[in-house]
Amino acid sequence: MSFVLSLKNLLPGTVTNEWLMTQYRLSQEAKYLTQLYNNCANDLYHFLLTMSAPALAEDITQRTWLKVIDNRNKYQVDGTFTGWLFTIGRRLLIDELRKQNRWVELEEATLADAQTTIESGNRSLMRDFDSTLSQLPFLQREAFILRQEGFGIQEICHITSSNTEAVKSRLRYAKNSLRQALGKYHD
Amino acid sequence: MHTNSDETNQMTEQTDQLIDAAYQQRKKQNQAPRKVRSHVLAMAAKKESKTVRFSLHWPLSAAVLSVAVLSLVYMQISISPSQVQSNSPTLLTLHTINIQPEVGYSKQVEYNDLLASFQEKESIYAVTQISARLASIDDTGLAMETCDSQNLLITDELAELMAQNAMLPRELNVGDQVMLALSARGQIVEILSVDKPLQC
Repeated sequence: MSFVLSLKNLLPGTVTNEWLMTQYRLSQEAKYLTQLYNNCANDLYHFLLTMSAPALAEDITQRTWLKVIDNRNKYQVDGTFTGWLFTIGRRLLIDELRKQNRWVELEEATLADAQTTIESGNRSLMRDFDSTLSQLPFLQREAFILRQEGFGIQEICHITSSNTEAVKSRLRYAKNSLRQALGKYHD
Repeated sequence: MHTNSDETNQMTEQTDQLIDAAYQQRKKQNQAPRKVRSHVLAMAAKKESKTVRFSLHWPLSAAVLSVAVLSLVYMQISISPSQVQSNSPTLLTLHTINIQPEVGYSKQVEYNDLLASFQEKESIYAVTQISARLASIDDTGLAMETCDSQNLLITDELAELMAQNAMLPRELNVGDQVMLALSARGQIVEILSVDKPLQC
């Protein structure tokens, strides 16, 4: 019975972010937002940090959550909460980059402050990973991060307002670059 | 040839595992600053305290108004047959509408303000409540029995929709006491669990 199945989702221990957000929208009780923040804030911050710089990531993270509070009534249950959250965060980030006239520059190019070249052999895996990641073009980097955060191709398309082929292509290029950089580390 | 391909795939798989591990490690090392958390949660608390919670701050002096408004709701109540079906033809008489103005009022609200708020805010939680007992859960849906022995049936489809929208308690068992909260439009806003036994 379908209702029995849906009741299973309501059992204790299976509280979803979507349920928390709906409760927050209905009640405006801060306890629901606190749980959402605890569940998702680090993921969002890491995404924004990877796409920008610490100060900007911090600012955009804060502004994203304030938008969640202000726009709680606009939340639609038909998508994932994290999809909605990342969409807001990405839009705010790109708006900010546009204000700073950095968006065109970043759209297909790499971050100006991450121009380090990879030297083989003498670097740790983490440093190579960081370096390669930061050198990926903006759109490849965001596709890779979103994928790592568990978003499906369609969700990434929605968050980034891109088509499926473009997202798949960005993911392929990003993964290949990282494989190339880290390939030397396995036995 | 086949072996080379297998080896390549294995190497790719190992590298992907390294990438995943490095990604998780990087996330651990870069967590959201505490001050962002403090600020965001403080703002949420501020918003919460500012919110006029309809059910909690209903002014005593507005009880008369509530009766008037609820009378309108009672007359126009529109639990449509597609939403709620019943084995009993007397279902739509809704004998058990139970007006329960809250106590512990914090401030007076002028009639016009209240009426405007009532009309404008779709987020108003509920203005009417029906007490009921969950009689059964089966393929047809949730069957409930009110104090007046009226039978309400929340169809399987509606119950599932409500569950998806967090409008049902997380756990429901046969025999549970529930409260059906109805909006100003007579639609079911939420079904709540109630600890107290059904008082008729």
